[in-house]
Amino acid sequence: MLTCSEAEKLLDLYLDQELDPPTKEKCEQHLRHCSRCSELLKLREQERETIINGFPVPELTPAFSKQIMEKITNPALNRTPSKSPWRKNWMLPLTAACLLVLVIYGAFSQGIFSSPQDAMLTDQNLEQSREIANVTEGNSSASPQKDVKEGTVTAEPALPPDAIAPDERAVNNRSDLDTGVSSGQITPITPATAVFTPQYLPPGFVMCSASSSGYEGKGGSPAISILSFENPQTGGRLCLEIIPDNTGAEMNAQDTPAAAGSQDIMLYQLATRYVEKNGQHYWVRICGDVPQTELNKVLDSLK
Amino acid sequence: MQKNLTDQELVQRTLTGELSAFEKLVRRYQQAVFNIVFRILRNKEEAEDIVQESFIKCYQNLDKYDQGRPFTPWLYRIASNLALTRVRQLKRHRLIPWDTASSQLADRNAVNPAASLEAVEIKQEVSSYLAKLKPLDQLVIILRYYQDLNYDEIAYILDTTHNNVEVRLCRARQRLRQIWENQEVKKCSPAVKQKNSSISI
Repeated sequence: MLTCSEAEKLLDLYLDQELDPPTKEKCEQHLRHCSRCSELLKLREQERETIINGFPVPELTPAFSKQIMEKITNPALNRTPSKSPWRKNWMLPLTAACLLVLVIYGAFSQGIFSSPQDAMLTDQNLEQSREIANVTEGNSSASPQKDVKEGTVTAEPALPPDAIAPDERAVNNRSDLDTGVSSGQITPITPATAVFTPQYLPPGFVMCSASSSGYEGKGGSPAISILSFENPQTGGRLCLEIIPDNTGAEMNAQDTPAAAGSQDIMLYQLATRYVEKNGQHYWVRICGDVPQTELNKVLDSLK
Repeated sequence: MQKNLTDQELVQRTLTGELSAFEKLVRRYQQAVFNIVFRILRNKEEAEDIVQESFIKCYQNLDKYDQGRPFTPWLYRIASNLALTRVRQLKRHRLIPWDTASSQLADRNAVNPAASLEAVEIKQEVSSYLAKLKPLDQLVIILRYYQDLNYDEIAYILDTTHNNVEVRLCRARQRLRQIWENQEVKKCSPAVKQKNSSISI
């Protein structure tokens, strides 16, 4: 015979019909003789009814099954936007972080955070660069070179000083980079452009901008530099790209053969050289809407 | 008169490419699946999405269904897993939608407003007490009380043992009674009613 506490523990299982036959028999025997436990059983039944009736659910419409079948037969309908909230939660901070990194990188690469000393040098360097441009145009004079050398000493060099030919040393200041100006005005010259100054330009062409990308600091790879030349009368353009070989930049294998086979009638011509200067290897590439022979002459004139 | 096909027969026909057979299964069980999912999620739109997803998943995996077993526990298992995953996602991000659909349903059908109000209160209480349980405990209660499944079927749906279901169900009931008493909704709790009556006697 079960005690009341034993029977009470079995009541839920009894109502769930989960008792094995012998235990069920014992439980029923106890309930027949114990009014308190049989009363508790009734209350458990009422409790069960309250729970079952206490949580109604809306009825689905008959059209609902049609929607399911449509989605099964047409899987494209099943591609609803993901409702997963975790994506939204991490996407926003990640995007913000990426933007922040880009802004900071952009600010530094543009020289916005250059020191006051650098800023003071900028004007001086700009003037020196103009003088160098005059040299490029064939109006070279001996006097500016001295100033250029002084500029090199005061500015923080991006390349070792001995890597730059004395007559080509220019202003090596990061704050000078990427400040393209219109035709007739010269952007401060970047390190690689200082190494390669074309001594020949097709008639009517003048340098219009110089820019550099890449980190030039200690341990960093030398910058890739781009010189642009323009003929203000004809609107012709030339672009000279100087790529240090250790940047990992790959030249398109088709570039050179295409350039070699090109003739004067083509709109844009391309020529490429692989050169060594002061122990550093460079890819030098020039393209423009001038005859191929002119491009080759420009490359030949590089010092 | 067309003979009612069994679940297994409909499954077999579906596997041979008869899509209308699966549609019959959908019509037969969509409300039952919705009853489980809605009681876990408590939001009609969310529940409908999960029901649709459950049947699509069921259709896609029908070849893996063991035809020696009843069909509904297998279907409920898919739906329950999807619903639990969804409710955890929503809870983690505190987006759990609390639907008043239950009480709205009662209002629509009301004949006697006073009686309806009392009924609505009870329904809201039962629903809110259940919501205080862990999702898995809620599911055990739902499967036992609302779907009238036995412990073995619940064990299969939850991928656990018969004993585990027994223990979990016992714990969930105790917790539910405790909440019931703590909330002082004595008029609704038969157990408390009994206590009160015994004291008065």
